[in-house]
Amino acid sequence: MREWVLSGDDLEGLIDSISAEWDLYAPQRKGRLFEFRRLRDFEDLCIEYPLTMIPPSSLFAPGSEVLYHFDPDRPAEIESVDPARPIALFGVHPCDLAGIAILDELHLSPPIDRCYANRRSGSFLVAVECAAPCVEESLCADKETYRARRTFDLLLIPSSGDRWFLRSGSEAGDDVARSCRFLRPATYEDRCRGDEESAARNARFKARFGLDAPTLSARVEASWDDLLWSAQSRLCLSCGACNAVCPTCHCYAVDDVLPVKRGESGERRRRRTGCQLADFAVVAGVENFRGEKAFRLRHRIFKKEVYLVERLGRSGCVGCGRCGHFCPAGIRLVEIFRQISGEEKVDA
Amino acid sequence: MAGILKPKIGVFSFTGCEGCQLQVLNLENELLDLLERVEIVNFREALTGGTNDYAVALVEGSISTASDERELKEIRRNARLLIAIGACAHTTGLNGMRNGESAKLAWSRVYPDRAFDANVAEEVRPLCEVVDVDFTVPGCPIDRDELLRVLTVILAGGTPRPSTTPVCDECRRAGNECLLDDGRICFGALAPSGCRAVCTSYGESCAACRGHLPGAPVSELMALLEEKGIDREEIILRLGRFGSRERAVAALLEELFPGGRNAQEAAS
Repeated sequence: MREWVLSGDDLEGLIDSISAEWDLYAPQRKGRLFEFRRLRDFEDLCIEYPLTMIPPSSLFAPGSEVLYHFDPDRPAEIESVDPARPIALFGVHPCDLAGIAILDELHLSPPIDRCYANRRSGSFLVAVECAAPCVEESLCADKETYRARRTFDLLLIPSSGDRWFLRSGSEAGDDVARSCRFLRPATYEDRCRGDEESAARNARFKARFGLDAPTLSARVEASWDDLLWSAQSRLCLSCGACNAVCPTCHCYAVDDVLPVKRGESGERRRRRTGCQLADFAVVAGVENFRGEKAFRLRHRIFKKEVYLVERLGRSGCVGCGRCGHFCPAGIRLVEIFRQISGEEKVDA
Repeated sequence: MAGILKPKIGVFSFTGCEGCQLQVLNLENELLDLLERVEIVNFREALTGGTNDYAVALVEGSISTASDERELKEIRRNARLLIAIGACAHTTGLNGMRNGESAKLAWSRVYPDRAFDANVAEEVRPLCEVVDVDFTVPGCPIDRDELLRVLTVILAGGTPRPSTTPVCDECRRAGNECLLDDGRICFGALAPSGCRAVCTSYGESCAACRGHLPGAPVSELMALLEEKGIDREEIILRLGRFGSRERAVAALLEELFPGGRNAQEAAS
């Protein structure tokens, strides 16, 4: 494992080296929120941010995108979209990294999602480890997603005295690190101190429920007929915020946009949608097989904790806490898990 | 283009601010391309004269007089497709606020010195309560791109589909904070998307000018807002601005003004 030490002042140099090759997106303020957007000025970087509302994975799977162009007179002939310019995400939290890993698994194995692959391949991920859970709704300790273990090219680990450890996770990460002359290889003493700091940080991430994925999955599955789904969804507005902010939600609808000008091409567009929207399960124009809020809420939790566990062997929820944090009706995953598991291990 | 038949379009206006007609004219980048494919034969804001020979009628405004009703029925007879454009045509929009009190009383408020005009109907109605409407482009005003989407689909021989997802979906994906979290009254959850959440993106609450989705969560939103301590009457009055024709809202207005606003007036 290659590890270096850099000072806070050198972050700008690191960003410059990455920006030479990639379009770099980093967490910045947007009103009272934070969002990943192109970093134009180093001063705008907020590396110590709580969480962004829209997850960074949306840079690979945007809310709306063109799948291909077509000629309305010859709709069978399609023209694919140009490859995207490679992007770098700087400052991705471990939970969001886990979210990207899940989307990778879903979209980069056959049948490959060409648009996702187009954006994701050649991208560069710089993760940053968190000092503590960022919001009340965080479940990263339960989901064991508070440490970055893979998927990153470079990992920044905060250290005392305005210093960072930088760890490489790929050849591309090695190349960038090699081009940064200001990096100093970590010594044995550095590593010892890093381990101590890491242990102190880990202690701040306490699992609330202490249920492993198979146990939680089994308990969720047993809750199918439970009244908790109606009770918890009482105030649900079906606004779809939980879907829009989820780093692993990946459902979409497809629309055609026809040209106004004769002879121009049309666009087949993909629009992300979500299972909490009232119309999501409408089939054949009229039949809605999840017409009630309770069925929809139950489906969302089953998708993450049962169906994706069956498919991926691990939970589809990375515990980022966004769905609860940004729900206008106050529907909290923590509360649902509390009811399903019967108890909470430690106080929130 | 020779040899290609261009459908004839008429643009008509009833009670409203005519802003939706202006939105058609505001299609500055697309208007010339559109005119290669259609012929506009009736358009009060843009043409003098007119004809009854048109295949498609774009109609804005509410039906608020007896002559409005006669004219709309004639348009329906002439046109193969009738498209309602804008909130006034779709749901009566703001015009519907005068419903619930007598036309004479409303008249006397606005024109205290003029005799009542018997042409004024007792109730303001949306187009669909007077004639069959084939498609609707909702909103106050209409979104130009949405109008183009409807027209291009019709020109391709297809059937435009109304949006079935709420404004909230577009709003959140645009990266906006939820206004409900700040204790503001916002109706994004009730209204169909398609406006690019333009109001909320600029910090203005959604007024549900695009009407309500089928099964819109009115009771959930009322309960949530009331739990936040917002006055029930204030919420109902706001819902009534654009939503007086929605059954759920009409019931709430009846709760607020039993027997209509006249009854209140008579009692006070």
